[in-house]
Amino acid sequence: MAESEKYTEAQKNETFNKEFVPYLDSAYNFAYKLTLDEDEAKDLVQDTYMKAFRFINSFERGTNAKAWLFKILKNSFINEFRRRQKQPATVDYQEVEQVYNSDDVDEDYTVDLRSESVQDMIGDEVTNAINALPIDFRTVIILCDLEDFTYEEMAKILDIPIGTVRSRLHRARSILKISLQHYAQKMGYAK
Amino acid sequence: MDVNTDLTDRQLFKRVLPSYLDGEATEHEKAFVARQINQCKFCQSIYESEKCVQDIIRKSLAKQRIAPPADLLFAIQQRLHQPYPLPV
Repeated sequence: MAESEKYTEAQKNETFNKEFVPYLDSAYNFAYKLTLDEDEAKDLVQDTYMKAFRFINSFERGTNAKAWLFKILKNSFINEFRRRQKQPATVDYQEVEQVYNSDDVDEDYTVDLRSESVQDMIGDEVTNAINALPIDFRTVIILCDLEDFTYEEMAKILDIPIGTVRSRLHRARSILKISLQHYAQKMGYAK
Repeated sequence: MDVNTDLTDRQLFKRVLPSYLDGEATEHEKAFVARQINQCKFCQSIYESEKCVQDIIRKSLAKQRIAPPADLLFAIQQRLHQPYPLPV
């Protein structure tokens, strides 16, 4: 059967409701963390679901519907929504890499983030620090630490190699750790 | 313990640790990380620090979760059953 004829209208509706609708909450939260705007998130999710329905014949039932949906959402964001937001398209990865050298084993941990009082104190600061991350880094943190996607799934959603997923995650966490340590230090929680 | 060997193990530990914390490490990597945490105070400290950062991020993101607008699904269903607008 040709791809364009894979599903009847009834099967399309059934597949849509069964495979994609259950991820509405996750899709909205992903959209919100990308746009940081409730109205834009709502529009982005609507566009995503419209596209999912329109292209449903290219979806194979039983495969990873959530990853398929998130890939559409991410592409919609890049192609349509990010243009409006005037955000920088890419990160200067080389510059970030120079600052956060992963093999620096002699780094000095001046602030202990483990104590509960520090963790309570930095609650809002974590939100701000995550939202302030460059979009490519914020995206991997959300996919991994909020939505629990595997490295392989993230690589497919973002169209990047697994090695790039790893390095973006590592750099994102390094940036967050440093900004939280600076904040804790400023608030007098230095060791 | 030889210093250079120690340094290499620490570097390797730092490279493998993120995969370990994300549940993506191989069995061999898991065994290596567990051994380093037990044998090396520096590695133990790094492990606790990195795990703590990850836990803070995860907890924060879970708290930031918001409910989608109540009419979102209805709006999608409405749009699905409308014909696509024709180009003017």
